[in-house]
Amino acid sequence: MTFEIYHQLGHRDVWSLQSIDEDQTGDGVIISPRSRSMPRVEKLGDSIKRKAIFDPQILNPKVVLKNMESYDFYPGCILPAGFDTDEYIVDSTLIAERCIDFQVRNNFRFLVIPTRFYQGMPPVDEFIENQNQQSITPFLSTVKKLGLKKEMILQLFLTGHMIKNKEYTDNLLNWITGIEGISGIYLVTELHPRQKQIRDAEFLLSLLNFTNSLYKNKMKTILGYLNSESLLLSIANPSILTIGSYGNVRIFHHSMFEISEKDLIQIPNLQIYVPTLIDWLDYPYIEIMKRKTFKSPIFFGDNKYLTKMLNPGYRGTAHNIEPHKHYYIEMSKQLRQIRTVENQNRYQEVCKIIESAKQGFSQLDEAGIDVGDKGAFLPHWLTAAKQFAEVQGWGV
Amino acid sequence: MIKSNNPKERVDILHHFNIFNYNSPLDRWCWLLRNVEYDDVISRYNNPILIYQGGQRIVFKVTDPEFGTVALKIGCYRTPQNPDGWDIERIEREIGILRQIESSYFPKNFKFEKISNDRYLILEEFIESVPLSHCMDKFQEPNNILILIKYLVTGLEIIWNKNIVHRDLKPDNILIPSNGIPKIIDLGIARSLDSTTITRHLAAGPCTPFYAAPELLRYDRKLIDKRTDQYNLGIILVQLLLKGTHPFDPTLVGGQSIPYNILSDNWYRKIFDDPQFSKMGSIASTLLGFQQYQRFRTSEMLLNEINSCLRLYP
Repeated sequence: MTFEIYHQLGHRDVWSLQSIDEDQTGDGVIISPRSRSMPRVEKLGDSIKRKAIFDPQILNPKVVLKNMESYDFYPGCILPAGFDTDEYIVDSTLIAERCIDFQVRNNFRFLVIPTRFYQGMPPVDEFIENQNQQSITPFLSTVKKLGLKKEMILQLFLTGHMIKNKEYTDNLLNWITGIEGISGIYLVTELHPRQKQIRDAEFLLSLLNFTNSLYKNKMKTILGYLNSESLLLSIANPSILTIGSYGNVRIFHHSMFEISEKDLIQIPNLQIYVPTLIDWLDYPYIEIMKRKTFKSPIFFGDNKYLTKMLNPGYRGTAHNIEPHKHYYIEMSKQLRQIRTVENQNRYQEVCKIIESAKQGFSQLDEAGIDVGDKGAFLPHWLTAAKQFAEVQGWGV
Repeated sequence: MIKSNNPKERVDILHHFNIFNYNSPLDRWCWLLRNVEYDDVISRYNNPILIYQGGQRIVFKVTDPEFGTVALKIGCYRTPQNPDGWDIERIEREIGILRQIESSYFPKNFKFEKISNDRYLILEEFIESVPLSHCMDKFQEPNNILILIKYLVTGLEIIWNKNIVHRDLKPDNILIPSNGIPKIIDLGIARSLDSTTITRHLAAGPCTPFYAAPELLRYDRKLIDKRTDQYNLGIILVQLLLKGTHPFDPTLVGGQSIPYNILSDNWYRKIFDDPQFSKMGSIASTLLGFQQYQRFRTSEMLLNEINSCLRLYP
């Protein structure tokens, strides 16, 4: 099955919108109220909104960050003086009505039913009951009452503990595949602790299995907040893969919704996405690599933004637009390449990309360029891919 | 030791000597039969034909002036052994469901009433048929089996769409008339998924354990949904392919018992190594998915799969 490429909007979401428009790096966007106020969302063009997914981000009902205050459906906006759990249940219908109204009024691609984030691994029955009571039932009842025909997607936040526990995910899958009226899942996972690249084969394999189970149930799966692991996850037949979650501000963690975005922003070193390594490297390495054997621009992802960045006069920081737009082009190029093939062929392509990246890191090492333990994620990715392929009967 | 197996004779002897063995199904039945009085009811009809004598009820074929040829069922819903009369709840549930349904896959209910002496009376469509359990040998070819399963899914879809789960589908509860279109009976433990109450009897875990999905055997109420009935269909499908042998039978796959094997996901998958049946393996394995999410999410998906498979077995 082919998949679509969506930009996970967040900090500097204008760059993503420009990149899609100018460089055709995506099929749509996932809108984040944390980063874009209600009036600014409403001002987006119809052509963007029609293909966009609106992420209501009601994962922590007690916190309302700055941009989110402009929306009327957050529990904290409805009950600014605070609320207890019982009150929240009563008001969940009002939250549902307002959130649905906003999504329908803006004619987004799907109607997203938000759910809450729970840390760790609460008892699965409790998790399901709370989600049903506080969100799913009020949303579905409102949709029924209004007679809406819009395609509905359920948002689900899962922690690494949850996703890695087979009994837990069996229960979750039994539950979500039995909810009538929804056609897919917008899945956001939190792995903590984690590096920018995921180094946990078990987590990745579990996520592949979970995604594939949804595919077998003919449900759409939208995998949110992805870094370049989107390449690996493509083998489990998701419907939409996201790009754009690569930095501290962008990789999903529930605490993102407790602190304002501005407070999270640091000024990191300028980095560049190197598609042959499926990873980001600090810019000073690039200068050294250019002098050594890695002269070909193809190694770095040859596009118009690379030309600017390799210009000797280029002095940028992570706030510069070029590294981001360069990444969007290269990442989407890699994803577009593998979406033309399916199943076993896609798996083989992904393995080639990972193996090639392993070789790339070895070459750097042999050339005396020490990038620390960067590249250590690749064995995890390959292990997850091979274990998944074995079960699919694709051979390893 | 009473040697007679003639029901009427056995009842008379047992009552005369008051020597019921309540561990014996036959003796229990005899006690109940004795206590289900029916002469006053059937005397209204000419030439009633006794067609079934079960544990808690007796069934006659009669000609009713209003409904024509019908099945007349008379039962006792409160007995010394069941002073709370749980059985009536089961019967009323079945009648309630049948009255919601207008389908050739289910018998029509014409009348239900409680009558004197804690008895009930039902007038139902009379179906000239044989239970599937008695005619499995008629379903030899893969396409005949698939067509039967397709009919059953089409019938069950009617109750599934009403958010009702049958929960006790088995060959005894599938009647095969001469036209081959099955009738699904015994909705006594069917349950509305909207219902928040459940009887004490049901809370003990209803169902026939040889055909029950794992979640029914565990009586994991929150997991029982429309996909639960798919499991029974899966067992019936493979049982037909195995010419009547149960796919979880310990003689085939080891294990302690059929329910034990159901809970261990241990069934005779090797049947699909046979090239004649291999194309049905995917449907059977999905119907027999241990977890609900491993089964078909919707009846539409199941029917599409059956139709695709039927094209492979012209």
